[in-house]
Amino acid sequence: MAWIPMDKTWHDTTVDHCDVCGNLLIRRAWAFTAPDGRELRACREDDERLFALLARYAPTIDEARQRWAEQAPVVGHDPRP
Amino acid sequence: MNAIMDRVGLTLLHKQLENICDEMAVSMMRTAYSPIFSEGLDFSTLILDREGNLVARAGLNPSMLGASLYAATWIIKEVGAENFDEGDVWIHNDPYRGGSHMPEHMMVTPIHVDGAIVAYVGNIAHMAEIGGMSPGSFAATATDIYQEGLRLPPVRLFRKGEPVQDIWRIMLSNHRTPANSWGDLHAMLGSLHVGERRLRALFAERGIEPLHEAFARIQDFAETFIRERIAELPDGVYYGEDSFDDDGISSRPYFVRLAVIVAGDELVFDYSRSDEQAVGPINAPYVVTLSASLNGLLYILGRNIPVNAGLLRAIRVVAPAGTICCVKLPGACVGGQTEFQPRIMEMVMGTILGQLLPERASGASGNTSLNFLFGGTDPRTGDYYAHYHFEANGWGGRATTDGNSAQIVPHANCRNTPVEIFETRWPWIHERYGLDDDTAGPGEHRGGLGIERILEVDRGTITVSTLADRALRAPWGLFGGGEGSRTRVELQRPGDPGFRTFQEHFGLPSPSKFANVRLGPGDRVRLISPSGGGYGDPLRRDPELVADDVRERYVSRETAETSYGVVLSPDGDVDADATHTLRDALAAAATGAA
Repeated sequence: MAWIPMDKTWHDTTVDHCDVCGNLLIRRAWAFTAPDGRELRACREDDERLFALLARYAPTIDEARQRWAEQAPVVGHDPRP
Repeated sequence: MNAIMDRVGLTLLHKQLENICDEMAVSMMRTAYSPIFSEGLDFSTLILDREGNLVARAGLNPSMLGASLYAATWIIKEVGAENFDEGDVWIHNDPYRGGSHMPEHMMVTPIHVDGAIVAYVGNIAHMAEIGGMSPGSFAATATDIYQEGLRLPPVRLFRKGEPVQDIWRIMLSNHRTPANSWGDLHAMLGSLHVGERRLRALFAERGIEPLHEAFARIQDFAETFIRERIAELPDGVYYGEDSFDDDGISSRPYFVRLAVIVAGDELVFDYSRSDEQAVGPINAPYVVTLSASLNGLLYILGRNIPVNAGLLRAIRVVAPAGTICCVKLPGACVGGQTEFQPRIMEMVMGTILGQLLPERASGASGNTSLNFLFGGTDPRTGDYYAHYHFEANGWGGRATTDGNSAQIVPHANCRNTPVEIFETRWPWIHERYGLDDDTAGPGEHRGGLGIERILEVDRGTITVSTLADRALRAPWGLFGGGEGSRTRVELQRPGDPGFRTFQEHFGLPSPSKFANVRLGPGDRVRLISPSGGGYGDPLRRDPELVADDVRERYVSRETAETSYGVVLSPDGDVDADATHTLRDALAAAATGAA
């Protein structure tokens, strides 16, 4: 894990996004290896921790989503088409 | 402790910085050419520290918060501070560099003292016309960003105090109303000069290093305060969804799915499960999703918290690229700022934080900016005109009060275009502009009313477009409150017996999004904006308030009975016995239905 430069030529118009949060990557990226072996580029050093937090909460979020689909949401509107 | 550094001193300093931003804003408002500036107030002004972090802003338009935090910061990083010379003014409007959408242009200039940059001042403002496929540069049927207008990467508009004429010529040649652009760009420049002058005086008065330290402390305070508020929330995951009617290209809906993770004094907005990015222009760039998330949170938790870069240390927004919450190049995205952002912000305030803090939540507002764009050549003058108008709608009921009527969406804080401006600048005649009565979402605290506006083309050919939403899915109520009403965008041509939607006239995929319909004299347009959702059970609304609503014609007698269970005598007084009986019957029917 380390900061890697992402300098571009002046005529390069591509846009790079953080693999963890979606934010833009400007001139450098924090490179780290995910537990599944993927090489990720992030906008902050702290994104390694954020990545782990998202993975930890993913089952809970999926359960909440399932509940939302099954129950009338608190707002009383039908969220499905 | 240095006098400037105690808490009171920092608060006063922060207010002073905000006052500078306010003065920059007033300067812009009073010198702009376009009503979107002078009447709409669709702009923000910024002060950034020498690293490019936001320290203070004028909060005229909260929807620009995300861009305020990043649009200048990122170009300073991209271009390099070493390339900001004294007298330089940089400009860009790129949603793929921290902008919200292309009409919003960001200017930033460095402030040098003794040869070193000590701060930056900047502003963001919505230009009324920047070219592209539709007059008003708000093409509801755009399928990539190249159709949405002239996209500027960070370039110098002034170099060492001198205008860079090549850039000016490119911009003005691609805008349909270059004279307005010229005036509005100079209003932005004037605003920068005001900010620069005031900030220089402040540095001279307080000293450079003490102010740098104070700027850092102000950001620390924002972080500390928001962490304290977050820590008061129960840890856990809070989930909600909302949707868009369509993207203007096809009739399929698009869903936003948000999980808010509260973990100690940190909070994460996770949009990972949202739909893929749309073909049409309803997508949000990352900063728009950031704005929506922060604004929703700050409306609920943010009282007296300085709004600056310190907030980003405690709050994270996860919006994977390629979703509707983080558009990837070359996706179209002009509608993300006006339609997507209020939808998300109110989802945060209602469906998410309503689970935690119901007393601070509210039903949904009409929740569309109902963007109405038009342009053409006025036969009286021969001049080309174009305008971007957004419409007011009803806000949602709250725990303590009814929703406001006829207000711009809560994330934007802007003002609409007055009738007098419409009729003196452009070839429209107003037939009606008023509240759309008897449409509010019922509730213990009802929603506010939307509006009805009827316009007739007076002369020439006018090319119109709209980009709106909530034509199919009404604004939701909260805690038993009823839905608000839906958007309608309609047309009556000479000889037609009545109004029909543009969708019905032209066989469009969307009832609220279309581009470049040419209208002629005698054509009449009717815009009906949605009303807000209600808060709480309408059967608990004070009957006297319902009677007042009937007297004011906000609510009809029929709705008073069917929605509120309130029976009025012929002279408008509450019939208490009949009301009691009717409410019991309606409650029993609702229980049976449930």
